[in-house]
Amino acid sequence: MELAGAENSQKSVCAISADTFRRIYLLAIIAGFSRGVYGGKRLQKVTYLTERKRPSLRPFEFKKYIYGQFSETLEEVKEQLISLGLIAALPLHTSMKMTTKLDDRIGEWLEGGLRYVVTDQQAVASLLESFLAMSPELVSAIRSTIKEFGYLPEQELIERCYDLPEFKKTDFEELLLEANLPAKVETTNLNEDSCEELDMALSPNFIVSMKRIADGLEDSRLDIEKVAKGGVPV
Amino acid sequence: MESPYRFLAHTTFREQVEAFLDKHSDHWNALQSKCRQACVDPTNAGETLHGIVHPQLIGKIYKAWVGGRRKFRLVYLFHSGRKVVLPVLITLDLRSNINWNDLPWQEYAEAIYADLTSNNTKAFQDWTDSLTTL
Repeated sequence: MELAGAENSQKSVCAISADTFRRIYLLAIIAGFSRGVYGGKRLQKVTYLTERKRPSLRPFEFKKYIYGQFSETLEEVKEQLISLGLIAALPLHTSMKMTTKLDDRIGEWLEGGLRYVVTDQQAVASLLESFLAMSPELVSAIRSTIKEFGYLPEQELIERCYDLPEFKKTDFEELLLEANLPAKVETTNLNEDSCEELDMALSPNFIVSMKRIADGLEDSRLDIEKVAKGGVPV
Repeated sequence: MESPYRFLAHTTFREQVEAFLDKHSDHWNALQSKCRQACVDPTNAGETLHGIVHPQLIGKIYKAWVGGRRKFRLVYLFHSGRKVVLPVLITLDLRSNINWNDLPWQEYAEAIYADLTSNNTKAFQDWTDSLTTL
């Protein structure tokens, strides 16, 4: 009986992919701003400042670019969160529509800033509960960074980032902060079902594809009565 | 046993089932049994996926065990309005070895979407009678 009890009290290890971890981490940062993140630069800087605190897991690497500390992977993950429908990018009132004309084609885009907001607080909250259980240290680092830097005027935030000693001594396009995420991030605070759920719900490949099939069912012209009968092959 | 729903197996799913049975023939019964449950009682045969915000997907994606916990996963879409159960995936590997983002979802989705919207009845098989008359 004692042995069985000891076995039951042992927590099993499960894991989520590094990609899933990056998505939920960035989602946690965006959700940490009560009214959304004003501008991509702010998102980059706050993420950098969080990882600069040297938590044991650092999901993004940062290099020195024109606008300061910048992570290309973060940009990719931000787009993935948009494709998952978890965040939306809304134009700020300062943004301007730019147009260009090449031959007969006219291109349009927005310049001057976007606000990144969580689209569904309830769904995101359930995902972030898992993140909190998995990495309380990172959640704490995110909260304190947002409190300290998140709401500074953009120019002040940028100046403070430019003043950092490692930024001054690093050359353009050189590495400022190295990521250290393993391919699978293990945890004992979630069960296997929860890890699987996160990997599926935060996979753009899976969600976008399932949405395509659901759209197909909505738009279906299939005459089911004419579909041949069959069964699991023997 | 009857079902108000149609269990429609697309070519992409049937190919997966053949590969599954080649590799795990001892799980034929388990797969058949889970498909039957999904056909008859789709909302209870598996668990719905949480953490989804797309309104078109909420409450429609289900994952079910085949061969017991920690074994294989059957993923299906259930459209209550159209009364259709559409299986999309049966995993070939144990759950612990699956990278969900690396599976060929897009390939399956594009093929299924094209055949649904072009009324390509030959791409589907209706397994409902076979599953419910066992």
